[in-house]
Order: sequence, then C-alpha cells, then structure tokens
Amino acid sequence: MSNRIDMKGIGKSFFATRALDNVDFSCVSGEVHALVGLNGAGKSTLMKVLGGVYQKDEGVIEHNGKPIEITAPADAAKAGISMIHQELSLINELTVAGNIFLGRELKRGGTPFLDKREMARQVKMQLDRFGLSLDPNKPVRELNSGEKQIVEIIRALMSDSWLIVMDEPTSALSEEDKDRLFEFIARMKAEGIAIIYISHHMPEIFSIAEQVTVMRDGVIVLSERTSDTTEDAVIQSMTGEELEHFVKPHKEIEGDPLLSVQDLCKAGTYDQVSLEVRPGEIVVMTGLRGCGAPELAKAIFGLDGDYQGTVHYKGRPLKPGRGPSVSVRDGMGLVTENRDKNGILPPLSVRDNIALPFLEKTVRAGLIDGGYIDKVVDKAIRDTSTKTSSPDQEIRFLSGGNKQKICFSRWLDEDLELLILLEPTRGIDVHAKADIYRIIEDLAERGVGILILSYEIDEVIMLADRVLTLYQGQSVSEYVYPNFEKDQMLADMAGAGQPH
Amino acid sequence: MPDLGRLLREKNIIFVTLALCLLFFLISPRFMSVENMSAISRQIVPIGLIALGQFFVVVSGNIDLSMGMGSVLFAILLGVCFGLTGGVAVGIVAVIVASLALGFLNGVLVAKLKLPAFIVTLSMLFMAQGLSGLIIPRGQQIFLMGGFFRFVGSEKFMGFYWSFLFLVVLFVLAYIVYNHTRWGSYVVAIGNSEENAKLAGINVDRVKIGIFMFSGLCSGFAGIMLSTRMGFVQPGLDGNGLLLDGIAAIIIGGTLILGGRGTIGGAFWGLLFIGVINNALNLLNVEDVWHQVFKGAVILAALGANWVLWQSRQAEAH
Repeated sequence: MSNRIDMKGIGKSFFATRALDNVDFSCVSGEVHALVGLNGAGKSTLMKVLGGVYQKDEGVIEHNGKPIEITAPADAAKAGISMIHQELSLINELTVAGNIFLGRELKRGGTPFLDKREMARQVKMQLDRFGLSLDPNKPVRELNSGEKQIVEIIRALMSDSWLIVMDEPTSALSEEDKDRLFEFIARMKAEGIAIIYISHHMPEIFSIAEQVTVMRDGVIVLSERTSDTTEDAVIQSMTGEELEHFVKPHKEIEGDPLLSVQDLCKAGTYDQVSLEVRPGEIVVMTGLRGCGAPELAKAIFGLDGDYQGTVHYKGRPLKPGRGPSVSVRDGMGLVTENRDKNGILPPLSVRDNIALPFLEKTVRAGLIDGGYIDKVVDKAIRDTSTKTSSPDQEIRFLSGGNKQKICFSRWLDEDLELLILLEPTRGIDVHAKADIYRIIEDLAERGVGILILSYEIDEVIMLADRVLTLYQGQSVSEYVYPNFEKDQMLADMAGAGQPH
Repeated sequence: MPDLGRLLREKNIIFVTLALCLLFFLISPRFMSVENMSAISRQIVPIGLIALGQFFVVVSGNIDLSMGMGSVLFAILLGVCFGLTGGVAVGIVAVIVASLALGFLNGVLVAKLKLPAFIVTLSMLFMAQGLSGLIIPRGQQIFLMGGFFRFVGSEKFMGFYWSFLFLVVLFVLAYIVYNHTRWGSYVVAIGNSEENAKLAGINVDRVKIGIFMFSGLCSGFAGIMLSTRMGFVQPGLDGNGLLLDGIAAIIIGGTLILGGRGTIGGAFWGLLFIGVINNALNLLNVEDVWHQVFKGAVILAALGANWVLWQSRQAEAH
C-alpha cells in the first residue's frame, strides 16, 4: 500500500535562533528523498521534529492526508517512522537480536518472559534475506562499525516502518558495505518503503534518490527530482556560492625519511608492512575496514608495543609501546577516528581541549602559563576557522566538523614534526572537509610529515603525495603522485588478484 | 561445550572465593564446619538483600546510598510497630509501604527532576539516619521477641535457614527478571545509554522509578532480616557498613560501577566472597579495629591477583 508524509509550514526556534522557517517536506513510499545541507542548515532539526525528539512551533504533519501529532519518539514509531542516527544508537551490552527487538520484545505466549529463540530466528531470517552472516546472539559490543550499521538498518526494517530516515549511513561503511547498503535500499524501495537519505555524497544521492531537497539556514532552497537537476546545482544551492574546488598545491619533497617503518608484523592484524614518510610529505594508507591500518598507526604512535619489526623516527629506533606522552614530547601527534570517544573531552571547554597537549610545555615554575595558553588557543581557533561562540564553550555542543577542527588544532604548534590522522573527515560536511584539507596541506608545507588513514578513495587521491594500499593487513602496492590509478587502487583494496 | 579457560576467565570470582575458603580452612579447620557454613548463610542475608537491590540500580548507571541507613530505619519502624501492636503483621506492611515510598521518592527525584542519584540518595541516607535517632534515642533499643523473629531468624528448613532460603528465592527471581524479561533488558539499555534507550521507545523514567522502588523494597526486607537476626533494634546499627558490603559484593562479582554490565550470578558469588571474609575475620578473633583493615587488604589482594591473572590471559589470547 502507498503511504506518504507531508510536513507543511514547519517552524522551530531555539531561543533567539530560527532553526526552521516555513519548511515544506514530503516523502512517498517507494522513493528515496535525499536531504542535503551544510552542518547547521536545519536538516537534523527537521528530522528530529519528524521523529518526535523536538516539538515543532508551527506547521502540521500529515500522514496520508490526515494531520497527526508527533510529540514523542513513540508517536513517530506508531506512524511507521524509523530513524537511523549518525551516532549509532545501539546498546553495546545487549545481543544483536536484543537490540533489534529493543522496545518491542516478543514474549512467550501470555507470560512476561522473553522469547529469545523466536527473536533470534526472526533476525536470522532477515539477515539471510540480505545475504548477511551475523550471529543474532552475539553482543553488539563485539561487532565492528560496519556490522553495527547493519544491525541498525535491520532494526529499522523489522519495526514495520514504511519510512526510514538515514542520517549519513555510509559515513562509517567500507566500499564493500556501501554497495551492500545500496542493494538494501533498492530492495526496500521495491517493497514500498520510503527513505529520507541525509548525505553529503553527491554521487550517492544521484544514484539512489528520486528527489533531492537542499536546506540552508533553516529554509528550503531547492527541491527537485534528481533527474531534473545536477550535482553542481545542488552544491551551489547548499553554500549559496560556487564551491571553490580544493586544489593540491605543488611542492618538492626531499630529505631523509622522518619516519621509517620496516617489516612491521602483528599476528592477525598486519603483516610485513613497510613505509616511509619524509618531512612535508603526505602519505595515505587506504584499504577496506579491517585492513589493519588503524592498528598500525597506533603502533607507530607508541600506543601498542606488541609487534615485530622496527620503527625509526628521525633516524633513531623507537621503543615499542613507549606510550603517547613520549611520542608527543618527540613531536608526534595523533588524531583518532573516533572523536567522541578518544578525541575530545566532552565536558571541557574548547580552550581546555585545545590546551591539553600543550600543558606540559607551558609550565612556568610549576604553574601553567594561562596567558600563553590563551594565545595558543586563539591562534588555533583562527587558523582552523573553527566556529565556536567562545573558547569557553563546552566542546560537546560543537558540530562534528568543528570538533574535528579542534582535534586538529591541538597539534598545530611549532614542535609538531609528524602528524598521524585516522579518517580525518569522517562524518564531516563538504565545507568543513575543504577546511581540513587546507589545514593538512598547510602543515605539510611547513615541513610536517603526515600519515593519513582514509577509506574514501576520492579523498585519498586528492590529498596524497604517496598512497599505500593495504589488504587484510598486507601492503599491496604503492603509488606516487601524480601516478594514481583509481581503478587499480580500488582493486588493491578489495583484494582482487590476491593469491589467497 | 564447557571450556575450562573461558570458565576460569569469566568465573574468576568463584575460584577466588573457593581458594579463600581453603586458606581459611587451613588456618582454622572450624571454618569449614557445617555450623559455620550455615552461620555464614545467615550472616549474608541483609548484605545480600542490599546487594540485590543495588545491582539493578548500579547496572542502570545509578547508585542508591540510602539502602543501608534505610534498612536501619525500617528495622526500627518494625520494632516500633511491634512495640505498639505486639504483633508483626502491621509492622511488615508498614515497612513494605514505607520502603516502596522511599524508593519511589528517590526514583522520582532522579528520573523526573534529573537530580544526580548520588546526591538524592546521600540526602536520604542522612535523613534516614536522623529519623532513626529521633524515633529511638541513641543508647536505647527495642527488643523483638516472638514466633516470627525466632522462626525467620533461627528456624531451618532442610538444613537451611529460612532467611537464607528467602534470599536465594529472591536471587532466582531477580535472575529471571534480569535475563528473561523486558524490564531486565531495559535496565541494561539505560545503563549503556539512556539516550539510545529513549530512542528505542523505552519509558526510561518509569523504568528508573521502578528500579529505585525495588532497591527501596530490598532495603525494607534487609531491615526486617536485620531485626530478626539481632533480636533487637537500635539507631546505632551499622547501616553504612551494610551498604558498602553490598556494593562491594556486586562490584567484586563483576558489575561495572559505571553501569551497563553485570550478572546476577556474579553478584551472588561476590556476596559469598564478602560473607566468607566477614565470617573468617570474626572466627579468627581478629580484633575489631583490625577487622576492617584486613578486610580491605584481602579484597585488594584477591581482586588484584585476579585482575593481573586476567590481564595476562588476555595478553595470551592475542
């Protein structure tokens, strides 16, 4: 049967800020409606109104032409609306099946007891239907982020929802899992499900969506059939200006290697990996999730000493597992892939978050030199064009892109010689991405060696001076700028032509 | 298939407790006597009730500090009712109603007003302590005599004290509720992420209020058991010692103090561990002042060794 939701004239204010202004938004079964906009454009707010997390100030929501009230997440669920959030909303200590049935558990007959076997069976059936192999009884904490995403999607599919909102579902997925997701989406469309797809990836949007709507500053600036518009038109309406393309500056890289990794091995994680980073050079490691690159980066940074092989830094061998404090003193920096977990201290201010690695360097007579810190912090915020109301703002209230900039800005002082970046633009909008690429290039120009792990092939090609492809912990091949062959790199990552 | 390695890893506390028993047996053979074992089973009842109530609170990411002094207050309430009516029925009903009310109050303040559980229940601890002293001035006590107190406190069924059997039945019920009902899953979900639990459509406030009402009820039961064991009630009873033993039991049993993870079985073994230490230190005539010092040292040594072992096994596994 055919369903539709129409949001008409939706308005919403937070104190003095007008977050949504007279927004009309509709979606129909069997279609994907892409919702696009920069961070802060109002798309999350709109979806939270639809999902019952926020209350609208004005406007109506109609389900099949009849007005409905959505004042709590439960109301949205009753209307058949499911949300898949960007920050995964699973319960780590419950099983796959326990998560999928959370809030609507099956019980054995008329008893209050859970029917775990039946729940697991139904989940297994759904997983089989999509060709996925996951144990329904496995605790979610043991899954990787791609698998967790799958659990989220299956949960939405099994909740009798006809409308599924996906907030950047591919940001944590490998190329392989992405293709699998797009297959799901095609199947769901065929079954009459409507999808609201929030994304920054133009190719994704134009390959799966029927309708695209762009928001800017709380209003709708474009809403068209994807067949009637173009990527450039969408991008232009997002920013309100032609998006200047990021162009890689030309540079000469010479000198002895800053970092030299020889035959690094860790059983079951990475095997015989060698690489070099020279001052001013941007080396990008790429592969699929599970290629071993994050673990490798952590070994280089001294977080894990359990490996064979040698790491030379500035000509000297590094002691395995010497700990991050030694690495930082030596001029190394690391920005992790998981900002909220490892990168920032959420309750602290922007200032304190930036200052953290500098504290040891700024101690005068046993006390912290606050004036110096203020200068460093101001400069860091300026250099990265971070948007924050003040340095005293608590960091957890910043958007993803701005949090990432803060993680960066911590390492921008003169002593930095080698910066390791794990997935530097994960979950960040195009605008903030360009800022981050610029920061990376500026650092390289200053002579900082940069080692990046990225799973996004376009980003790899845009940023790298040298690319190392990895497959299941083994290095496949190396590419030097400008001889990047995208198809060959993708084949390397996917293990095509591998002996095993 | 039983996997010994995994069993050792996950059930460490069982082996630590058994090893401790062996040690105490070697020091004093009387420790392993049937009389002493059943003495332990009776001694752990009030701690066990506190631990059981606290378990759900802690797994949900909260804490209930009012349980210990609450149970003293409820014991006194029972004593006063006994003094007025000469029977226990009114007293028991009064304790159940009052303990549920205390839990409800804690729950509402935490869930609805979003006050930190630590602050709310700490305030209740002080109030319970104050009220106990108000009802019975310090230095005075009410003696409790009669069939009910003797029956629950010292009668046995098939070799087990009734009070211990009551505790075991509650643990079994709690196990079923925790592992096989929605409510149990919701407690875990809230402890992992209140936000995500809410997004799944769970009525988080109601579950939280329920959790605190259960911990309140458990402290009521603990108060009743305390009075049957002692045979008298007075405001000087060590409610906070009881609270800390209860918390220690569940943490030793593998419950994460930050919430989100824990097992009822682990909590039970943690309880036995605490019971064995308390009993052995009494049995070995350790002086009162040293009792606590030894207890701390034994917990630290046993769990420290356990932790080091576990870590080395983890390293081996990789």
